[in-house]
Amino acid sequence: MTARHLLPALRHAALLSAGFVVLLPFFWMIATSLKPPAEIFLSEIRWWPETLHVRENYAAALEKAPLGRYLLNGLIVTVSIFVLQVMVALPAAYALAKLRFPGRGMLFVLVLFGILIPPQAIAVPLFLLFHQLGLLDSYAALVLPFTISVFGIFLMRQFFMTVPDDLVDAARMDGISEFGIVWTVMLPTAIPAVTAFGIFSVVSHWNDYFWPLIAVNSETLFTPPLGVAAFRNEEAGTDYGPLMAAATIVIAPLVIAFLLAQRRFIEGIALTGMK
Amino acid sequence: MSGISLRSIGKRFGETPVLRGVSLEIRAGEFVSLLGPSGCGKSTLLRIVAGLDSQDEGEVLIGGRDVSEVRPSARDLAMVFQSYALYPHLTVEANMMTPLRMRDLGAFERLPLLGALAPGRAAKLAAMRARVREVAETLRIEPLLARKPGQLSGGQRQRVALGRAMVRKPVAFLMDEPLSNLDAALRVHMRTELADLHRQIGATFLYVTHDQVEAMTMSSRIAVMLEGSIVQVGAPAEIYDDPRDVRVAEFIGSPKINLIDAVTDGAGQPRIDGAGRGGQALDCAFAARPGAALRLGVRPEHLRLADPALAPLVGRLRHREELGAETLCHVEVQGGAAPLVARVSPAAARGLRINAPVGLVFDLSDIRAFDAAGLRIEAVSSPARAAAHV
Ligand SMILES: Nc1ncnc2c1ncn2[C@@H]1O[C@H](COP(=O)(O)OP(=O)(O)OP(=O)(O)O)[C@@H](O)[C@H]1O
Ligand SMILES: [Mg+2]
Repeated sequence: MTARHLLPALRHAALLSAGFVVLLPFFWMIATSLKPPAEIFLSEIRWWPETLHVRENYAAALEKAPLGRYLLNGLIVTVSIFVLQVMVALPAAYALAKLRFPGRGMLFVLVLFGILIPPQAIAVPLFLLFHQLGLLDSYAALVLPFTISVFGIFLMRQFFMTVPDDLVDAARMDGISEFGIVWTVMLPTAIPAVTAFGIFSVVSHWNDYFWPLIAVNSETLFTPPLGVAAFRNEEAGTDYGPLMAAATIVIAPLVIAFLLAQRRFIEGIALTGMK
Repeated sequence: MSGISLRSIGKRFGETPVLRGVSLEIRAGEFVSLLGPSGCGKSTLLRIVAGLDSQDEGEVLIGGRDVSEVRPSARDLAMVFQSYALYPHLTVEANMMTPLRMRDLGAFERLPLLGALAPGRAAKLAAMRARVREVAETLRIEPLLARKPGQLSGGQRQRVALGRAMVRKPVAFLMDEPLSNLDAALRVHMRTELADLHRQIGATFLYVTHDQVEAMTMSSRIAVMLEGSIVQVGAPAEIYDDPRDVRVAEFIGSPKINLIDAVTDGAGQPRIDGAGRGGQALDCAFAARPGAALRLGVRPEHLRLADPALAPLVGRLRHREELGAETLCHVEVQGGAAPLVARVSPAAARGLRINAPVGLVFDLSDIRAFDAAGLRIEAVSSPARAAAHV
């Protein structure tokens, strides 16, 4: 084999092994969710079960925990967060990108600082605030802390900077109000950026474990990650088959959504990479 | 249709004054071009008229009414932008409908689904569609109505932008270099179309451009703007033949007007430094002090080639541009700063070799004299149509 062939081969080998490392836990989760208990605790590595235990594991998962409820909660929470984030971020980004007013530069610097604050750092004050307001253990507690996304404001502002000023002025000449411009002119031109932001927002809040763990107690409000964790602690003990089945069910919506929107997803990431 | 009056408009960005007391009267139905080099403040002035920017001083009157406190859309003007600024996500028809929707439909009627419940909305929409079709017909863009702006050529987009401006029947059109993104051939074509359109609808046009050919060919009057002030306003021929300022003379005309340094003698007659015929004074007089420095402007087409022994200006041929119908001769005159350009017939320039000695003559009545500050100085006497060497 010549060097010309060797290099691409090495490159692919490296990529394949990295992919293998990433995918292995997922594969192991799915394989385990199909195994009977006896096969799970074998000392040898068995990639695929000899006897399938699909029906038992998945039935146990769905029966022992209200997984449907968790998924619905996840949907309600992520969609509400995203819609509210857009309702806040778009007008804010429009003002930062297209309106001239004193203090605009300072405000934008504050937005940039906001991005630097990790959510864990403000979790305790937030918890106390929600306690004072009597909002703990509710959907509001799960949604409200994320409605102002500084990252979203930043991302949309960068995108709006690339929209020509003439377009905004043309809309003003046509008699569209400033809020009207945000929703009927800027939003449609910013669909790629909004999609990219939506993907990041939904994925990160669907998978968020930290804040829901602090904010809610009632099982009826559990989001999918909380549900899976609770499932392990209380119901299953060391019963890994149903546990992995539950984990698979919880991850499935994201995976399916990703496969359906694969092209958009990659476009979106490419877009944020550019800006 | 209304006239527009600008009364000593001033505007500064930070410390930099961009407009310095601009006054201009645009009569109803007139086509006025605002002509000036890049950065002189044309767009700023247009945006102030439109209400997109506010002036620091002065007032804008539209149809006699002060509109300083009136929102852009309520001024009932239409603007065509250099970049066309069409809504990229809407079809051509929806683009052209937008100004009508905003003006004729109430907030409730514009709602996406609920709006359909409003009584009388269907009739209004039908009227708007009819108006859009009518304008599309005038501009010959009916086949494009269902397309999005991204699927149009530059010229087509330009027409759609015009259409969007026309549907409302505004009192005046404001255009900011609408042709500058088109290729040369299309620009020539659209010039004719715009002039036609102006004749056809008879509306007031305020047209911004830095292209003197556009201004010369389309306008009823041209306002020449330099460094934030309007230096001269007049019909195209007047601006060309009778510039009041040396900067106007230099800006209008291609190739540029020739400027020759001279000094007046006791009788107010200009003497050209170091020129032919022993520095003899020209046989014409200007209203200037004796000994004052003058700049004599002569357009290239007014210079003719002549025998060096007889001509008031002599030099050497440096360069020759054959343009087919005419030839431009660049003549380096002793002591002159830049070579003088003469626009002559190809026959007259034939046989002249580079570096050959050349004489230049001109009619005394074609001289435009300017003082050291650049202001025009009137001739007090010049023999009618007499060549300088006669
Ligand atoms: N928002 C602004 N802030 C600061 N300076 C500005 C602003 N807008 C315009 N200027 C300045 O004002 C001057 C006039 O600008 P303007 O856009 O009116 O020029 P113009 O005559 O339209 O030029 P062009 O032919 O290049 O379009 C320029 O020097 C420009 O730099
Ligand atoms: Mg401009």
